[in-house]
Amino acid sequence: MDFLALTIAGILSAGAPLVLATLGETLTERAGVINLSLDGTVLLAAMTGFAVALISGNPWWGLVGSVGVGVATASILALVGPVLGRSQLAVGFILTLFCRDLAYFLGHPYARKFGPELPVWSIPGIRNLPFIGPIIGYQSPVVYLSLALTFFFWWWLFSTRSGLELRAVGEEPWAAFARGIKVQRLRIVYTLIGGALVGLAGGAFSLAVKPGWGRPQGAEGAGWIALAIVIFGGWHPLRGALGAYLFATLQVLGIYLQELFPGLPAVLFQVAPFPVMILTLLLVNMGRTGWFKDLAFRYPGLKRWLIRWQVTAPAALGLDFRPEKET
Amino acid sequence: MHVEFQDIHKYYGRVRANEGIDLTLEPGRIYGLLGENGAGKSTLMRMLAGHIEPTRGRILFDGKPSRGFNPSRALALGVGMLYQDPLDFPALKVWENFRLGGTKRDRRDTLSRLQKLADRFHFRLSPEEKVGELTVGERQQLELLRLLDLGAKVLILDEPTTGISVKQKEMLFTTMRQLARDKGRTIVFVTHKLAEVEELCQEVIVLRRGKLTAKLPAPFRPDELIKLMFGAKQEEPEEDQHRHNLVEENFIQLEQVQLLGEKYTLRDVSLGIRPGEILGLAGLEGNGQELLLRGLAGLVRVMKGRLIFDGEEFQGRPYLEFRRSGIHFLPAARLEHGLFPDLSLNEHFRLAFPPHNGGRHKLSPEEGMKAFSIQAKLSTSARALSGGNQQRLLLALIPRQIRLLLLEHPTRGLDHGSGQQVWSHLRERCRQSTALVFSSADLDEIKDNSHRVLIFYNRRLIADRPTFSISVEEMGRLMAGEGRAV
Repeated sequence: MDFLALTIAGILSAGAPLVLATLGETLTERAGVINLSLDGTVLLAAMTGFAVALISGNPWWGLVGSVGVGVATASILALVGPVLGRSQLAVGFILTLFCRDLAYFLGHPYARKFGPELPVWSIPGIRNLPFIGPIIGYQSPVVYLSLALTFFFWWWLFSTRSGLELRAVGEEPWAAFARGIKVQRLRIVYTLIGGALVGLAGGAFSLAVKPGWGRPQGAEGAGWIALAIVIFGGWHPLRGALGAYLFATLQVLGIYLQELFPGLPAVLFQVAPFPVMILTLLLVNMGRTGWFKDLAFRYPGLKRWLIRWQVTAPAALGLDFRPEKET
Repeated sequence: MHVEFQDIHKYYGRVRANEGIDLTLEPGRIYGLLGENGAGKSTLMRMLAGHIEPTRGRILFDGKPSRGFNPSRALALGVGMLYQDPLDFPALKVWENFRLGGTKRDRRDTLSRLQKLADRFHFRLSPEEKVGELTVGERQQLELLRLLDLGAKVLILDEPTTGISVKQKEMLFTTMRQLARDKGRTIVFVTHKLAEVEELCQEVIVLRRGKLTAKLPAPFRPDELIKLMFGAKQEEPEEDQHRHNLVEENFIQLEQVQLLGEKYTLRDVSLGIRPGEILGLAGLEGNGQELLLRGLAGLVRVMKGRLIFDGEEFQGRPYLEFRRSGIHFLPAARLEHGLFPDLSLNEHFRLAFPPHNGGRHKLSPEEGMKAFSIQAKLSTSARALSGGNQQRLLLALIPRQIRLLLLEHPTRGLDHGSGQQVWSHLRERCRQSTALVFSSADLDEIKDNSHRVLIFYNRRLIADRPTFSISVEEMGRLMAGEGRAV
C-alpha cells in the first residue's frame, strides 16, 4: 500500500514540470501561436534557475529567474511571430537550438555543483492521513503549483469570458477582430504567459525534480514531449495534464521494470515511453482513417467510446493575422 | 441612424472598387443594394462596417465623421454586418458565439437573453450545440440576434439568402420588415437577385463598376434595373431541350448505395445516369446532395451497395482511379478546394495540361483564356480572380474528354451573365455526351437546365423525376418535406 502511494507521489513529482510546460504550450496554441522553442527554453530556464539560486542562495529567486528566461524567449517568438508576421515555426526551432547550446555554454561553471533546492512543503492535516498523506501530504511546491494551475486554467479556459476570448482568437481571428477583440494583444499576452509556464517547468526540474545542473541535466527532451502531449491532450488543460502524468508513469514504470528484468539493456526502458507516446497519439487520432470508419460503422458502440477522444486543433493555429490585410 | 457617404473612393492597387460614391441612408427604411459581381457592393458595405478604410472620402454618422474606424467602433456606433460567409466560430457553442464581443453578462444571463431574443423572432437555436453543426440559415439567425442584442441601428445583410430555404427566407424577410417598421432600423440588403429586391425593399441602390448608377424608390421596373446593373440589355437564356434522348444505356449505376459522411449517412440511393444527361440535385443544404456528389467523385466512402461505372464495381477504389476514368468534380469552395490560390493562371494551365502529354489534350493557356473569356492576365494569381473568373478558369481546366462532370453550386455567387455563360458551356459539353450532375440552391436553375431532378429531404433521396413533369413549386414543397414523394 505504501509502496503504491509512494509510486503515485513519485509520478506526481516527475510529472510536475511536464504538466507546467504542457499547460503553457496549451495556452499559447489556444491563442493560435505555436511555440516550438520549448525544449531549449526548459533547459535554459533550468540552468538559469539553478545558477541564480546558487548565487543568491535562495531557490525562490532561482524560480523567478527561470520564469524570466521563459518570458524572454517567448517575447522573441512573439516579436517575430505575431508582431512581425514571420514564421513562428522557424524562429521556434532556432530558439530551441540556440537556448540549448546557450544553456550548456553559460551553465558550464555551475555544472555538478551542490546548490539550494526548493523546500518540501508538508501540509498539516493531510500528511498524517493514511495513503493520501504520502501522496500529497509532503511534496515540492512545484507539484502543488502544477496541480493548482491545471484546474485553474481549465476553469479559466472554459468558464470565463477571458478564456472564451482566448479560444475565439485561436479559432477565427478575423471573426474575433470583427467583434472588437484585440487579437494581436491577446496572442502576445498568451505567448508570454505560456513562456512563463515553460520557464517555470525548467525551474521545477533544476530546483526540485532533478536538482542541480549538468550536461545532461535530465530535462532534455521534456520540451518535445510536452509539445506532443499538447496534441494528445486536445488542447485541453485536464487532458494535457493527464497525458503528462501518463508519460511520467511510463518513466517510473521503466525504472521498476528495469529492476525486474536486469538482463535487458537499461536503454530500452529509458526509451520505451517515447514509442508508447507515439502509439497513444496514433490511437487518439485514428478516428479519421477510412478503416476505422468501416469498423465504427460495424460496431457503433466503439465509435461512441472513441468520439470523445477525437481532437481538433484550434482552426487558426500557426496562422498569421494582419488586421490591415484583407482576405 | 442617418448615414451619409461623401465622395467615397476605394482603390486596390489599380483596381477601382468604388469611385466617388455619394449616398444617404435614412432610418426605418429597407434598401436594396444591387449590382453584378465585382460591382463594388461588398467593398462599400465593408467600409460602412469598419472593415476597410476608404482611400478617399468619408462616412458621416448622424452628421458626425468617424475617425480611426474599425469593426468594433462601427458596432459601438450601431452598424452591424451579416456577412455572406458567416463570420462566426464554428468550433464554439451557440451561446458562446452569442456572448463573444457582446455585453458583459454571466452564463445564465447570456442564455436567458439569447432565449428571449430567439423567441421574439421564432428562431429555434439550441444554445449548447456547436455552431459548426448548424445550417447556414441558423448561423445567420444567430448572428442577427447577436447584432440586435448589441443594439445595431444599421443592419447590413450581404447576400443573406444564399444557402437558406424558402421558409427561412420568408422568416428573415418578416424579421427585416418588423425591424425597419417597429424599431426604426436602417437595413441594407446586398444582393444580385432582382426578385428579392422587389419583394422586400423600399428603395434600391444600383452599383455598376464601382460607381453609383441609380437610387430609386419602389415600385421597381425589372428591365430598367437590369439595364442599370449591366449596362446593355441581357440576352434571354436559350431554351434547352428538357427531354433527354432515352435510347442510350446507363453507364453509371448506383445500387442501394450507402454513403458515410462526416456528419451523417445517406442511405439507399439507387439511380442510373446516361451519357449526356443532366441531373439537378435539389434539397436544403446538408440533406445529401453534397454526399452524393462526393460519393460519385470517389471522395466519400461507400459503406454498402454497389457503384457501377462502365460495368465495373468502383466502390472502395481510390479517388485517382475515379478521376482517371473520366469523372471530374468541381466543389462549391472554388478557391479553397478547386484552385491553388497563390499560383498564377499560367501555372494552373500547365498543371492541368502538361506539355509532354502527347499534344492530345493540348490547349495553350492563351487559347484557354480566350475560349472561356477569363478576364485577367496569365500572371494573375487565382486568389485575385472574381468568382465568375474562378469558375470559368475551373471549367477551362477540365480535360476535353470526360465522362461525368460533378458540379456543386456551379453558379453560386455569379451574376446572371456569368451564370448564363457557364451554362452554355456546360450544355455544349453534354452534347458531346458528358453526363452532368449538379446541385443548386436556385430551383429555377435546376428547372431551366436539367433533364432530371433528384430531390433530397431528411437526408434521403426522395424523388427522381423528369424535369418536364415537375414545377418549381412542387420541388420546393418536396424539399421542405411537404407533399408526397414519388
